[in-house]
Amino acid sequence: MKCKLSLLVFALLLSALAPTSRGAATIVIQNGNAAGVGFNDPTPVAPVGGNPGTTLGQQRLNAFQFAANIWGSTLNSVPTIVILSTFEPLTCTATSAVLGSAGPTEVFRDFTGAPFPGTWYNNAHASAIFGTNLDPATPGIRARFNSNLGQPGCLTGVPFYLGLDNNHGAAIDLVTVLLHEFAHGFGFLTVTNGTTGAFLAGFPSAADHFLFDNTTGKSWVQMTAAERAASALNTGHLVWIGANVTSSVPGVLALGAPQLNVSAPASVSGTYLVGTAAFGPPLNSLGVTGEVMPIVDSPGNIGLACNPLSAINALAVNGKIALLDRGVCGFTVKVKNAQNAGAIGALIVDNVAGSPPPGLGGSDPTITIPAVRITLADGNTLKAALTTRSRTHSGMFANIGANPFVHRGADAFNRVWMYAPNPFQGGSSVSHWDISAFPNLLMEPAINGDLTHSVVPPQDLTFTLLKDIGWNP
Amino acid sequence: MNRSTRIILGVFVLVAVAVLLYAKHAYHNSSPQRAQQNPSAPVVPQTVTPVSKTESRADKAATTSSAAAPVLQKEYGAAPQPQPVPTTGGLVAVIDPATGQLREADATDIGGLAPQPALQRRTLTLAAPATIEPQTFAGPGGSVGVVLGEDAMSFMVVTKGPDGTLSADCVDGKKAADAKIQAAKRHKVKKQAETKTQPAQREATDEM
Repeated sequence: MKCKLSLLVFALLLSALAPTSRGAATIVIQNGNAAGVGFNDPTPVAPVGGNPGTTLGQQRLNAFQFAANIWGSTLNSVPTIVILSTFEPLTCTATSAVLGSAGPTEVFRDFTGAPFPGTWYNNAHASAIFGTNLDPATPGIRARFNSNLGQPGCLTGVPFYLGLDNNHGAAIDLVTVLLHEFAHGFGFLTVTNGTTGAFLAGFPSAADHFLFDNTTGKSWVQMTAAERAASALNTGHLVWIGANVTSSVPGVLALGAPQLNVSAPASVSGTYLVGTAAFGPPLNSLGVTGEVMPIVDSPGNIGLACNPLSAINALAVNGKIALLDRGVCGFTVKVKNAQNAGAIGALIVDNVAGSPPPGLGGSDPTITIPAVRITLADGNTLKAALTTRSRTHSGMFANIGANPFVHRGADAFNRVWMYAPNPFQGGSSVSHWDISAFPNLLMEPAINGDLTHSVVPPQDLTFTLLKDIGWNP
Repeated sequence: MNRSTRIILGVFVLVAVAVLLYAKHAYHNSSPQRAQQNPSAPVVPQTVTPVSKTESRADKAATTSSAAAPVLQKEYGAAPQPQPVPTTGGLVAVIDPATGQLREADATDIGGLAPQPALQRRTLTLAAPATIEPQTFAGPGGSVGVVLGEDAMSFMVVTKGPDGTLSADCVDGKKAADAKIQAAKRHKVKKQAETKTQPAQREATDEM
């Protein structure tokens, strides 16, 4: 009886996610596991976080269906969307693991009602538009997840959190990962080859109509393959131009895009991409303005700042923005040493090529000056301009701050940046939002711990992008 | 008509009926209708015999390379009440046109009777090497489809940093996912080597 009651509560919880005015689709999780494993694992477990399952397998299935229902209450589809799902052993080591995978099984073009002719749409999306399943024999989405996660040798001690309340603590919230991966299955991706720029079988993806390079002024469907390949590497210039996303940006993303502005000398003046620090004061619109001076304490014109600065370096950065290099010791150690020498800010030059610059991790509540990371290429540009300087002056002036008129993760026209790192990153590129988006979005390439289970504004832009490509017309 | 003749004729009639039933069944299999699942009903695990015709390239790779022996035995065609597939079950009767007698069906006969053009189409697509242009197939209403493989799947990979923080990154394709795992492994080995030679800096190596 108790079990029935808890199931009833669970059913009510799920019904709360049932079709609303936003959307209505039945999404079925098709259990592909054999008896005794995966979704059928009989290991007894205690109900957790609103998940009433009393076996491991049932809890897994509940979490899958919960995530499916969130999407089911958001998307419109008359045909049932089937997600063929399994839990099975996937690649892992003690410190890393494939959590799972998901994606569309097929794409279709030139079906009746297609928003763009000659354009690939994922099976589930194409069928929703067509009004009936274009291939009833094939599930629209295939999903596999790791049955060994958290076991010895497979990200040891870090299992999936199977609760439905997002109270995952140090564990990995399965529902969040599922929401992300299912979104790729619904169409948050391009099947165009990002490395070569080649269309799949000669035709673009639905997303390609909305991928726009603000350097060339062309969308991906207007480019040659070579131009698309170059665009996929054009960090900070590949944006999404769908009207729904653009109009939703002010309600979702915060104002104050972090940036480094160099005002002099003219040869290097301009705006540079930065990775923000997890420590120190948050960047504000005023920011910190000062003269930039490098620290040099290692061979090769390198300034590691892993130890208290020498008298010469301390004299150089006192009252200035210190330029130093990544490597050997933690970011907080470097910035603290610069701060102790009187620096008012710190620019840490990456020691490996790549753009955009990632953030600076670490924690030290005693750090009071702002710090950001810049790319190796940008660092070398600035260092070259700093070659001629005195011991206390360089003539290079910069501001580390936040642009109060630009949303974080978008350009000045509210067009959200897509993830376009250089070098190209094995598939993460293009089919995700840029990591600079803030608050964090579900469809960034990395899952952040502060995500909610929402896929709509004001928390998120995933559904909004799907609307742009033709869902819920 | 003697008794043996009647028996032969009776058998022949039975076989003919079976052929007709089979042909009708095959026609239904080739149509786009499939047993619809009840979304609220518990999903029944599939334990049927593998059906290579309906496997995707991705699934095939998983079932042959993964250590998940008891995992999915039947792929996209899986349904609560699987339909018989003529090439692996079903009754096939063939009358030799030269003799007018029944004879054992051979591979050519079975191939000729195979009633699922859609599934055959998929087999052809999946058999193609990944390096060549993806093969398309005709869908309903003049649409054109392409079956996607493992490269179209998004993989979520998590790595634990030296300080214990987790990083979950989404990459496309199994190759990229495995490469990320290998990179994490190499990074860890390199890190261990560094910390052995530079013990004084060990505490400070987090978040470099």
